[in-house]
Amino acid sequence: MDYLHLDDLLNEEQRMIRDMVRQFVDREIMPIIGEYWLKGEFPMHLVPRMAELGLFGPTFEEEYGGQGLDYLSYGIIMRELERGDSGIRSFASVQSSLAMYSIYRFGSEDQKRKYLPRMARGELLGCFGLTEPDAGSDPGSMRTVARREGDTWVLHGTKMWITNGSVADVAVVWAKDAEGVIRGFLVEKGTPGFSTQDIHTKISLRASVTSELILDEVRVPEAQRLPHAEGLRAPLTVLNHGRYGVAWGALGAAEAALDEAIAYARERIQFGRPIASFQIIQQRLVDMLARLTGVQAIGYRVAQLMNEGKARYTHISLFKRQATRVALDVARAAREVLGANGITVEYHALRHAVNLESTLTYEGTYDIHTLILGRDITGFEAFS
Amino acid sequence: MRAIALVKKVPDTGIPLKVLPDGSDIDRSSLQYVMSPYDEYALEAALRLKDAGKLTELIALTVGDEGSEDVLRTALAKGADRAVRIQVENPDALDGLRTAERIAAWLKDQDVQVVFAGKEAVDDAAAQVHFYLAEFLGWPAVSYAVDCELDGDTLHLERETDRGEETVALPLPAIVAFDRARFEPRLPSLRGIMQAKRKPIDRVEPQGETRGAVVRVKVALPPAREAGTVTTSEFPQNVEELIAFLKEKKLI
Repeated sequence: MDYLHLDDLLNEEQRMIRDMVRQFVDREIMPIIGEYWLKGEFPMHLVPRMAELGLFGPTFEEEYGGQGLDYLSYGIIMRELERGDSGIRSFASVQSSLAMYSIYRFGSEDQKRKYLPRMARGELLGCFGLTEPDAGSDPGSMRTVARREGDTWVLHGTKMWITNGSVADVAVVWAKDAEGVIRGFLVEKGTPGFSTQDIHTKISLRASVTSELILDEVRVPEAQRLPHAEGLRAPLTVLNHGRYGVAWGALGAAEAALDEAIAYARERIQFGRPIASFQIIQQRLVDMLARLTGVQAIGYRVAQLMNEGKARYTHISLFKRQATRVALDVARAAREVLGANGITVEYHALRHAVNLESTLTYEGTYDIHTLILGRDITGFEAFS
Repeated sequence: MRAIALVKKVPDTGIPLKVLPDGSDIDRSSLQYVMSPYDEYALEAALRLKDAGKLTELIALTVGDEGSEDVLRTALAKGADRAVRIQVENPDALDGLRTAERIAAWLKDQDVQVVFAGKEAVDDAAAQVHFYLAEFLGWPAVSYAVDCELDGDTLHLERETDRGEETVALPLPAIVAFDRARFEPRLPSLRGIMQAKRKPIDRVEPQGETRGAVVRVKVALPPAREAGTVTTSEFPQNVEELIAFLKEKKLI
């Protein structure tokens, strides 16, 4: 659903990108996603396909495996992927915007050349370890430490809720040094003392790998430290980048849910006529349409600001806060229109809704973005 | 070896059609356009030969207005080397004969050995262009191909007919028109899409008649189907009613 024809703002190449990802989702994700979601499994066979199509790290320069894509194109890719499933989009987000972007933004030239082209080709998978069991919205309180011993760093601690954790070949791990300064490290799979444990009890993002990272006196050389990352600002910069894609993704899930609800309401006959002809259904659908259209417009404007280098982190907070909340509400309302059919994976609205519960929370909760925006417009910080 | 893939921009057949009030045409204001699906199979067949190193150059060609360059960009993004648009202001006024005349006029001066086409475009389903083209060029043409292989100067085709499968060989230069193939058309990659911008599209001035020999007089939607007859009787009474009904209509 694109009521204001916002996609008319896309140029020819952006339209082709949209159509390509949409066809990929229709052909290769939609037929299997319900089954994988129920099994609680990420469809790994899609990784080489997504790499082949160029969906990992597309905004980076060609020398790093990207295509120098603009941010509207990137947003459209995320939107179309999440039209399929939030878990698939999360995979692409974590690979591109969290893991690759950490290296791109804060890594050395050697690290960029070593990792980025292979990550773009899907040969190496990445994850991003910031959150801990006791450090979520307050990442500055993290307990993972990095102890320096000559040219080696010894990492110790636990990371939690890490998308792609156990399938990643390289983990970007954030830890505090002896002075309490947060630093980033590239920890490769198989490094002694580094292990992962998947979280199997999720009732959201089921077609996505979520893990705990356990770092037990893990020794990594200084060459694996991200040299340009110093302090909490580094991981927060990366997250800001990531949540731009999260917000676009939420639009895709909401559009899919609304389209499904409208189609269903027009076909479903009760009391001798389509339920779409009842005022109460029309009101629901129009409320969904109106709220969704508002956040779509925000998305296009924030994309323009990103492309012009004028987007502030608060703009992205506003977009992420609104998009995930509205998408969740739209998907829930769509499920209600679908009646009993809506509780199965044969329809998509409820799968989207429960997935969106995660997107409302990860990469800055709804409440944290409220406080970020509150601080911005009042000048008072209400965090602590 | 150089090949041409003929591609046409057509309305997406998944979207319900409306007819203009005067019946002169379908309402094109709310249509979305795509590459005709059989052209996609033909293009894919050509791209596969190119991937296998059997074609040195693949040219995508369309006859149409500026808007029809979308399908050329798509073909370039998928891997065609360059594109040609034979400029026509109102492509819908052309019939298969006039379209093929224009293509033949351009093609006769080109060093091309194979033409790939769809068996028909899904908008008018005329299935004429490739056969007219064969006539004008004096080349052999085969339709309903589902797979192909190039071996020296011979094109081997698998085709599906009502009577079964058939393998044919034809000498080059030749024209092949594809049905739904044994393979799926590829998606363009991001790299392909970005590279397509830098590939050339040549615009060629048309030669010949600007109006079709065949002129569309009127279009109309098919009449709505009448509701059927439903029997609510129990078995075997309902079977007897069905038989009686079919006999009454002289269908059995």
